[in-house]
Amino acid sequence: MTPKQSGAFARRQTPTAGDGPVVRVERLSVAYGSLVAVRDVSFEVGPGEIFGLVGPNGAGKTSITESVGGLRSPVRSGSISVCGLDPHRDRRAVSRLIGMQLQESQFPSRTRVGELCDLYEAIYSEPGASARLLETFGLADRRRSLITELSGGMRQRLALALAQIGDVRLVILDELTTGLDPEHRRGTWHAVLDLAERGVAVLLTSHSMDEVAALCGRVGVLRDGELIALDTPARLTAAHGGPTIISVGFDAAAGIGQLPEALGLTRLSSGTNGQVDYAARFPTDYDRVVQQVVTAGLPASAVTRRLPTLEDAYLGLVGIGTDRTAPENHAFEKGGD
Amino acid sequence: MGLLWQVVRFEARRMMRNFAPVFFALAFPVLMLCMFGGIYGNKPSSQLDGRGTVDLSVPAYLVLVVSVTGLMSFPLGLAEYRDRKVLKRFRATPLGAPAMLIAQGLVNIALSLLGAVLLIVAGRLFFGLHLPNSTGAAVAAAGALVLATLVMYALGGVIAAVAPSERAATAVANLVYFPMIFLSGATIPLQIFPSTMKKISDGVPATYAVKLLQHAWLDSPTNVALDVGVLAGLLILAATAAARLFRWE
Repeated sequence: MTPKQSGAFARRQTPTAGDGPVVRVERLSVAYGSLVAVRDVSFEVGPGEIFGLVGPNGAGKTSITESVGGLRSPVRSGSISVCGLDPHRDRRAVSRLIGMQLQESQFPSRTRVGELCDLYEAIYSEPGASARLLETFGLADRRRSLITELSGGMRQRLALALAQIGDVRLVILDELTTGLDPEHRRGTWHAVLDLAERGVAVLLTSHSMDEVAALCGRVGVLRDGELIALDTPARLTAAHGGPTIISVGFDAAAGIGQLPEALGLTRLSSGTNGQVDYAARFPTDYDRVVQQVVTAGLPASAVTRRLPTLEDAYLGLVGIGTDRTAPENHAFEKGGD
Repeated sequence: MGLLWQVVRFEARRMMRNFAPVFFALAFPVLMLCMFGGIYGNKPSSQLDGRGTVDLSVPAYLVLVVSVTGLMSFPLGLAEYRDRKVLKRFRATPLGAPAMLIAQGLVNIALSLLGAVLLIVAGRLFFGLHLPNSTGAAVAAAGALVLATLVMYALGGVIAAVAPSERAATAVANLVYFPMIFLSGATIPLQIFPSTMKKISDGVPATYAVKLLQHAWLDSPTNVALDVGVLAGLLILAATAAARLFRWE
């Protein structure tokens, strides 16, 4: 599979945010001793674009984000540029342009929110910058709170706020919403979208495909250090998500007998939830099956469908849904989802 | 410079909320001094080579003060920052990680200095502590204390460097710290040690710091060349080892 370089695509492009990509990674390979963590990876992130990197643990996501952030020195080959600068050689200049949220990185202990904000303002020489950000993230009344008194969601929002202090052009978010409840997750998503709206490029990694689908203009899928796919979530889903599952209730299925098979649909093992599943294409096959059911005098509501998701495409791509070609595989028995 | 000052202020606030080092550097030595000074006063004692308990204790407790910050607070702070990836967080900013460590070192040294001042003031106010009787002696005492401080911080640096985790650092720091303060004369006067204990104390680096400081302060007998040699040699070894072995991640 060749990665497609659709650099022109950006979901939210701000014309004022300068020209050219913010991040340009070209044929990057990273090795630790004999272990090659990243192999020949290329992608670009434009201003205002949210770019997602997904892949199993150890696929190279962190090696890439840390190389872009200038935290990794062994860039074995290839090149990285952030606003035209080399993140490793021009670390100081690049670090002013990047806000980084590292998943495993904790805040210093025994610290108040306000003190941490003051420190970041001093580091990025932007006094008073945190006031507006704390307001935005609903933390304005928390300046006096110790970090330990904050909930997990508040801490993640604080990390996101701190990553925006200064004149940053790129924000790197490493598994930002891990461990958050759905409400805080949504809140965080809005914050990320706002960031992109202002023309900031966002490079994020995530294990949750609904998050990537909701936020990212483009997604790169990594497996064993290689970029095996790069496209919009919609196109990835269409190309690699597998068939739509059409389910027909047992009674209705009995009423129409083998008719769906006659249309060329493959019958999957019957679900336990009282229906028969077929692998099909949407919408043509769906319309035909509905027609068969209605012709047999049965209610159209007996037919339901489940479209493939980015997660299906992801699992297919990284090889976890290995037997996608064999539809009897349990990977399709997801009718109840 | 302005930025480093901001970082020092940040670290100083964190330090003020850290009970153990603040108590053991500021309050504990003064409490010990008040207890033993209260029991024995500061009259010359034949058991202590004709010195008063308080006169002998204050220089010794100064080593205690720099040991607790150098061997415990400093390496544990570093290990925490490394283990919890705080260093990495700041490495991703224009500040860089070393500034955080420098600030921690400065705050710990400031804490020891404050502890030293409190100890001397308490000794002087409550028990008539005799100060070094010449400017030269005062300078020598200050120099001995600086040397002792550097040795303890270098050893602390080695602890932070070799400990694989924050928990391991805590264990190692305790294992080093307690023998260091109890077997060196920093808490219990060397003069009352029986000969076997004295032999053991010869193997404890802080012993040489206590002897050197007491010598500078009170002109008590010691082998100055040996004391300075051991401390300087250890400083070079430990500082080199710490710098070589320290891991940022």
